[in-house]
Amino acid sequence: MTVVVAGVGIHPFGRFPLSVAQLAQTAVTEALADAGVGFADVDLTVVANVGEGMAKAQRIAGRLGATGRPVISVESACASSAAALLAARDAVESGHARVALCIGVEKAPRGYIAGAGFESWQVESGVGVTPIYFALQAQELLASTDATVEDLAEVSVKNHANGVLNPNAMYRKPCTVEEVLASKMVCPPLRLLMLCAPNEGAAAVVMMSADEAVRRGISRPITLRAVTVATRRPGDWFVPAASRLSDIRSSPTRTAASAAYDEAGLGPADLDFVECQDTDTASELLAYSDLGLCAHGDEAKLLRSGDTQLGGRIPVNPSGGLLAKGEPLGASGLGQVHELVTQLRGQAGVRQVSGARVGLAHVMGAGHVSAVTIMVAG
Amino acid sequence: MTNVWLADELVWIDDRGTSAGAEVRLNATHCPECGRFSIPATGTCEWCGAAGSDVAIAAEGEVVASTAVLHATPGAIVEVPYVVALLRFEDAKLDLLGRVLGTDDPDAIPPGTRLRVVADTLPDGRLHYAFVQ
Ligand SMILES: [Zn+2]
Repeated sequence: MTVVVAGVGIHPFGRFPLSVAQLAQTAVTEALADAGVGFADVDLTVVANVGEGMAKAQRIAGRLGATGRPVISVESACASSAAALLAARDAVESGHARVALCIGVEKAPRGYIAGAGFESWQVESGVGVTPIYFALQAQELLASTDATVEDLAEVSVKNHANGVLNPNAMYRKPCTVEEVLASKMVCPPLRLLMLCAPNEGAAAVVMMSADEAVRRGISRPITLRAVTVATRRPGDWFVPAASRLSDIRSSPTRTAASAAYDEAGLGPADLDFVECQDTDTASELLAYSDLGLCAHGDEAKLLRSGDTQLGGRIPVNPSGGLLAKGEPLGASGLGQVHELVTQLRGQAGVRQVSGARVGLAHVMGAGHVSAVTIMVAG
Repeated sequence: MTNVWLADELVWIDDRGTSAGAEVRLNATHCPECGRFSIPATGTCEWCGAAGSDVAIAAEGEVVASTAVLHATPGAIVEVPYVVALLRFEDAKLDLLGRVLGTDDPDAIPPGTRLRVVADTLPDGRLHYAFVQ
């Protein structure tokens, strides 16, 4: 059964004097209106969030209506949104839900993301620090390819330039390579402007079967062609593992991307644009090769070619990415889906990717969770 | 030299006759099925799930990559700044993350530098592992 996205909504990402439920309400109201359905039509609600406590999904969805239908909570760190998409997609595909709603919402504290699945000894002894992982990954990229720290800065410049064009982004100021390289060192070689900042925001997505969309007269549904979620294989290394195997190297993003291309019957050459997990600028470069946009070793070459800029052959993070939007953990992936739908409908205004028909979204979170979503216009 | 365990849920080294500064050998679980090592040692192979037995790995390794932590992290009891390295234990085919003593400059221990594993006293008195040149 073909599953479509019939509606999307977003609360801008940033810092707000609002509760988690208030942030979510804005996004959900917009998504339901966009799809032309009410909360009473929703058979399953899936809430993606990291930081809230017990019964959070019911608290967040509770202000939308008391329908008696299932409301469930999923958490997979920065990939929480993808877990929600997977659950909702499967419910619609199997016929258990005619209409499913995904809500991603977060009010993340400032600073390093703490408690990312580490054991207490890792945190106490000073090795349970998330930027260490991104910094070591960046060091290995710099040592094993021709990528330079200037390339790491250029990714930030590109995404911040896109963020200027996105009213939902937190940081809407352009920056220069010099400014990035003069920003505060966090974990060498990564500086403050090469890392995304955890923040607040919400996004919501309404899904249904293609038949249901036709029945409801929805004019421009976007087809969900693949949703895949991968976790650790022996050659992977990510937060929060203290150790890794030294003789084999793989990546959960490669696993998720390969499965997604299979599921969609499409390949990297079919993509018109990509939204990827730019937790830090080296992570974006590594996503280029892991998603198959180039061979490993050619990441900096692809960046320097201008192909991944807005207006280039395969724009990456036309929304500004997490570097410009900030990262509300539970909401970031659905924020990407919001961007995919907006672009695929041709409604992205000044940041529109011309002729966008196929888009890919990628998130990566603690616990070696990587997820890929592929969507197609029509 | 003393063999020590990483207890995977409690902060660490049980002090089986060792003290700060002493060289130690870390215990890993060796898998009879796939032949791989896992660290911390838990008795179960992290890669294939088979039951394994604890064996000590080499007391020194080679730096694969390094960085530094310059700003305090919530929950950490060690003082910033400090250097962190991914150390390669060739025989066990494992890379392990650890704090490096004696320098606050990651460039002072470039890839290929050999570091030893030692017992180190955390600010609260508990023993932990660290790397030193
Ligand atoms: Zn095994």
